[in-house]
Amino acid sequence: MEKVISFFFSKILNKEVHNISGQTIGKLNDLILDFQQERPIVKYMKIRNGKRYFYVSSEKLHIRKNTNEKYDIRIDSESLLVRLPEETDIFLVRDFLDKQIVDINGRKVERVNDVRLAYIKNTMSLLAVDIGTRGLLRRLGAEYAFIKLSSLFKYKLRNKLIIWNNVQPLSSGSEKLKLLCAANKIETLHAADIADIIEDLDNKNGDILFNSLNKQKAAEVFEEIETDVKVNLLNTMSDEKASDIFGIMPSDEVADILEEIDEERAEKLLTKLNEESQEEIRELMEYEKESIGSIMSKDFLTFLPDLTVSETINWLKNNPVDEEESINLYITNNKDNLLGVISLFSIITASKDAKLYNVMNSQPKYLNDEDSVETSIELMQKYNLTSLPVLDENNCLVGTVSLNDSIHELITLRRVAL
Amino acid sequence: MKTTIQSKFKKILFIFTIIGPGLITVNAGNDAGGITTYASVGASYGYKMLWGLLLITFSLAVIQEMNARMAIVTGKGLSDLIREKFGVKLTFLAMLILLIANMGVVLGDFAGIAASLELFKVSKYISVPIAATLIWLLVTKGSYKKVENIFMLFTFVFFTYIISAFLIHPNWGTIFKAMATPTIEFKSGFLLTFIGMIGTTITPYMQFYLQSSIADKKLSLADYKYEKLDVYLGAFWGNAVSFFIIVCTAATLYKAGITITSAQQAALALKPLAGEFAFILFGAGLLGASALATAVIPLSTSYAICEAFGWESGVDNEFKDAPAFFGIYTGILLISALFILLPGISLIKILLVSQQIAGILSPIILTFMIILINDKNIMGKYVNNKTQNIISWLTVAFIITLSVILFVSPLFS
Repeated sequence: MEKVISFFFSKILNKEVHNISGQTIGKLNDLILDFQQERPIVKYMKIRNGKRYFYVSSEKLHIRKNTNEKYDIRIDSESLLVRLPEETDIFLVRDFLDKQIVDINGRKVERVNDVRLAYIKNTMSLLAVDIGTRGLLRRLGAEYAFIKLSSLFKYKLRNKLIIWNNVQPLSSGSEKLKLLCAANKIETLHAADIADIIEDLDNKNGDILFNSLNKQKAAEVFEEIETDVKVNLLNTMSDEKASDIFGIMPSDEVADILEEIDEERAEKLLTKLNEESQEEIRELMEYEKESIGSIMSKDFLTFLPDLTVSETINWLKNNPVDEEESINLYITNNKDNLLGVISLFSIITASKDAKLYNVMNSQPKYLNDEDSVETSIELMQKYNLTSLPVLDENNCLVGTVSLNDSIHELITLRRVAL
Repeated sequence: MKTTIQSKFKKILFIFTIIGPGLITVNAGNDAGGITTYASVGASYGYKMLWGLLLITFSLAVIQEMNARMAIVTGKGLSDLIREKFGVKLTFLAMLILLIANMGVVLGDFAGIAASLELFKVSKYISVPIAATLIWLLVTKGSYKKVENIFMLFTFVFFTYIISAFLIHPNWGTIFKAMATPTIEFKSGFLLTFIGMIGTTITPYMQFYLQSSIADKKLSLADYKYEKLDVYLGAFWGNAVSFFIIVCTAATLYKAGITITSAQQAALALKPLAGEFAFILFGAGLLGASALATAVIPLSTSYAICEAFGWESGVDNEFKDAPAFFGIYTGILLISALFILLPGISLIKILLVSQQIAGILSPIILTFMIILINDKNIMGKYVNNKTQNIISWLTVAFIITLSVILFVSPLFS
């Protein structure tokens, strides 16, 4: 008999538990863990004796195995520390095993097939989560049979473990589990990846995960989520949270989503925004669904033609400007008519005291707000551009369209057509 | 004013998108196995089993409502819930049962494809391989959704049984009397047919499919009342069609002493309506229903199993990313199609036996469901009420009792 330092939970689940004199006191039914630690720590075990259940401290719990891989579970203590379970207790089997988690590294929703426990500094802790098929086979008691079988085909059946640092539990088992994992590991991921994960989850879990994000991240993620899932999230979201997020999001994205929801709610949410964005969004919502006007961005930078290059650079330095908005600067007269375009590159390389009208491209390519997405992509592809200004019927600059948004819209339209 | 009308219209449209899965599920549930089973119920035993159909209509309504409630409250499919509550071993059992039952149903539906095209003098050695390949390509290459509606249109042919039933002027008094007076024969033929009728109505596949499709709609609890209406309507409407099939075959075939041994005889019941076109009508309907089921059932089985075990699933994936998903899907199609190609097997017999297997297995899945829906940790205050529990447990007990009698009765005769 040797002491086991690290082992799979399924090896001891439902096995007999012995006291110090070797008598069987019942079968191991579940474990209570403290999830507040950096690595969850096993606190108590739930033991089943016939129809009775009792809870014993796992402090003096030792696991040994003999050469035949037979596990022996023993409490090496004279007296058993017994207690009653509490409302807030989190159980390994009831709340975690077989439930869904997010694998932060793999950026995917996975199911917990088994759990790797280990003695670290003499306390039993949760080391890693097994999401592989080998874990499933182990639970079925068919692990070794399959290892033999697969070795016949020269295939090695491997464990698929995720260490605890990369595991984000979901609420599937218990709401408490979610709350207890204070550090939100999810937020380290890119917004587009989080959006994919939320789309994969069921309603309830998706909601909880989304609501755990901070405002800024929530807005970024919300933009990336598919429309129908967006609508669902919005239906359960509070008005406050929704207007917070809308405040951060670009107006064209807000207009898109408001067109999808109940009119009364849309109106109510709109009135919570500041007047300027309200007006922008209402304007965008007027456009036909497949026109450029409905997908254009209202966030762009315009300058008067007689400004100098150094004045412009100073302005850019001293004002909070979005990176994407500043790639192209638009030159307009005081009636908002488009006179020219300057790329950030030409601004930087131009001589400092040149006037903008001397530096700008005075025959810029542009779109009309009633144009189609296809036109936008064709034009950008032909002239090798990443964004285009959009003019209305009075030749006023009303927005800009990026290649990225055009392609995204085209893909969505195609999907609907299919 | 315009906006209020518009928003009213939107609301109605919205309700229609909710009411849909239930109706569609039941329509798809009246697949080849279903049609043949009901036809043989009427042809072999007349009106004698109508009381049973009436009772299981209520069971079906209660059970499907349970699926809808679980889907909306938890947002999860049935196989997810089974895995999370019962662990790997019992999930394995549940999935094995689902696989066997569904395999049987798919087998039945391939038999349906073969039988329907044999009416048009197409040999099964041609029709089955072509159908299997086409369905596999349609589903995995992603253009299946377009074709689904066409198959669906075919199945509306079975509504002609309703017209047919009125044209033959059956004795409605006798029919209603039969519905109110339970009769049972302790012969294995009768019992098997009865179990087949239950199996095709409360089929295990239906519970998984319905719950997943409702969960996918991501409805909120506020929409639950519409969804409830949908599943109740679906259950009663579906069984109304079954009722008329039984009436038709009872009033024509049973009277004439014809039992169903081929699709030709099953089509005879539509003769009063369609005359010589009865074969075409029945053949088209049977083909549509079978094709629909052979596309949907392997797919939903594959989804259910992969969800339960946490394997990658979805037709958008590449084969190497979701080998289990495509493996199961392809496996079910391939094995079923090959089985039908064995020379000399009776297509109608396969159709009937597959439903009987589904019937015998259904109590196991139902038991999982009833335990799940009564778990306060999962359902909160939306657990079953007393009436729902009594009806669902009685259904389980009734099917088990029938199966036990079926296996025990040969020992005493």
